Amino acid sequence: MSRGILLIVEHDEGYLKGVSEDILSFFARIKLKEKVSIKSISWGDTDISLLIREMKEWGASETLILNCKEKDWHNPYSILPVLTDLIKKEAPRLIVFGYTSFGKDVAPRLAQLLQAQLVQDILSLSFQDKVIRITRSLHGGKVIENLSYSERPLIVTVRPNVLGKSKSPVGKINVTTLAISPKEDLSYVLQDFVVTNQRKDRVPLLEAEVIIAGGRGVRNKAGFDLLEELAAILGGSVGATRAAVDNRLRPYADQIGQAGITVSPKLYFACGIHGAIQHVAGMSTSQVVVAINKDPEAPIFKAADYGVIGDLYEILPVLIKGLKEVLKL
Amino acid sequence: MKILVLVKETLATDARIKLETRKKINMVGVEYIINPYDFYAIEEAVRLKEQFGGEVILFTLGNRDSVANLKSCLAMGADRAVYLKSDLQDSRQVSEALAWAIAKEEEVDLILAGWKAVDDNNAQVPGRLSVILNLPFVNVVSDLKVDPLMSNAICQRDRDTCSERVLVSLPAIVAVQKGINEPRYPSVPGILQAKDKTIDVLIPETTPITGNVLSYQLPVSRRKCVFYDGSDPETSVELLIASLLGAKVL
Repeated sequence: MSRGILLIVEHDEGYLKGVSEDILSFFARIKLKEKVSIKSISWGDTDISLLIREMKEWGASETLILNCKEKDWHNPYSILPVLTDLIKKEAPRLIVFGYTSFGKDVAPRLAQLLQAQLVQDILSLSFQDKVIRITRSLHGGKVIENLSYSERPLIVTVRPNVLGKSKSPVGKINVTTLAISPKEDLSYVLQDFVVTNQRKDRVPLLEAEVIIAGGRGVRNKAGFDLLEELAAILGGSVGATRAAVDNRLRPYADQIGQAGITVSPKLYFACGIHGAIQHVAGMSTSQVVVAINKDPEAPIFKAADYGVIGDLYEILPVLIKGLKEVLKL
Repeated sequence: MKILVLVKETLATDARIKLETRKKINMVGVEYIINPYDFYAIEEAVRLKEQFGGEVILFTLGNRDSVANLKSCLAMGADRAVYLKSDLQDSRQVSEALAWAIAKEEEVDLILAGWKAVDDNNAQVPGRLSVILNLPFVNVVSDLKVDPLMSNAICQRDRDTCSERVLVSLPAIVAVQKGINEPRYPSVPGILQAKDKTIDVLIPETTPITGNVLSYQLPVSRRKCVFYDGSDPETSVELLIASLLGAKVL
């Protein structure tokens, strides 16, 4: 009877992705009734010492590192045969990915290859008797669905910033490495990388702990420059509503809402955002929400903890100055 | 080129959801729309047809009277639709039913889909389908250049921190991201032509799996907004910063 749990850990040059920190520390924390083996899988090229150090910090006690280049890890056709093979041998009960582009790419294909069930973008997970209980949201966050699965294996992809994170350092980590030779698959060939307007030093929106979002009230690029400045001070990322995207001030990838991405940061600034139900659906699980809007009747205030009724073009420069002083920047 | 487009009806995004019971969402009076991401897939398919000639066929699975929504998609320039009438919800079952219907089409060059649906956020069907049909698959594509003579396509695939350009051989499955194009509004001639376009109904024989859903709940909004008067920016910002420090989020 398969019992083990497999955690797929992602990183950027050795620094763990936020969602991987969430996943590792969650499984390091939970107390399971039976002794269950929890194993991580990640990838590494030449020097994996930083990655291993990070994994130890966050609670991984056993890991397999696939020896390959980043582009091979991100090539579904290179990585799938390896993962499928490993999983067929290990026969885990549960396989956990982060809801990242890797997770979205690989998990559905893996699920079909294993004839397994997959639940994407989950909010919580628990073990009860012989089943795994999961919650996730539907209709852009308007309904929470409680699910229960006894099927094995079960595959899940986890939304960033929902499981909670806590460093759970382990004394010792057992590391195995496996060299993989990337397949020369002529049906899918990586040509090159395209630089997007996503800045490399910014945390991807999905993982950001602080998000400064702009809506219709941010009328121009100068306005979004203010949001970028605020984001830089707080180590956050800039998001947008559909209005700003339709006005071509921000790319589609920045759109937060039901027809965009759903985020769950610690701190969310809604600047010049009216608060339409489709947008709120994408940020309602944020821990603390600050809304800045000229209109005191704007529905966004119903979804906010703090509201400044004022012109964001006046408020933001003052806020930026104030934060610089307080944070001693 | 023969291009198939996967399309799904979803609850209108401005719908306020009510629960009939803990186990049932109240669907009374709710409007259905075509999944917003699917319009980008349909538009991309129609543009390819306009460029290279061929046929665009819509595939959808559901149990509602979707005729009106399908006709508006046909009015964008698709040629016909295949409607699988079924209660299936599970992604694996939906993928297998679609594969069964798609297998009846010959010489398909490309299958397009929106990369996710805004109702269940499953984002599984294109990936699962690629395994069942054994076709290469590229996810979250924001730019597509097809070369029918070489039988391949260059996809710009968006990852979290960068984009990749990938060359895939056709036939392939491509799941598109918003912004890959600007979907057209159906023209009046398009709407009139759509009246004569066919919607073939197929009935998959699979019994839906149920039993995984325990219950639904509506998220509780516990927020009570503390307001600051922004007509005095200095004071309101000072108070806000103090509150945020207190809330330990700075």
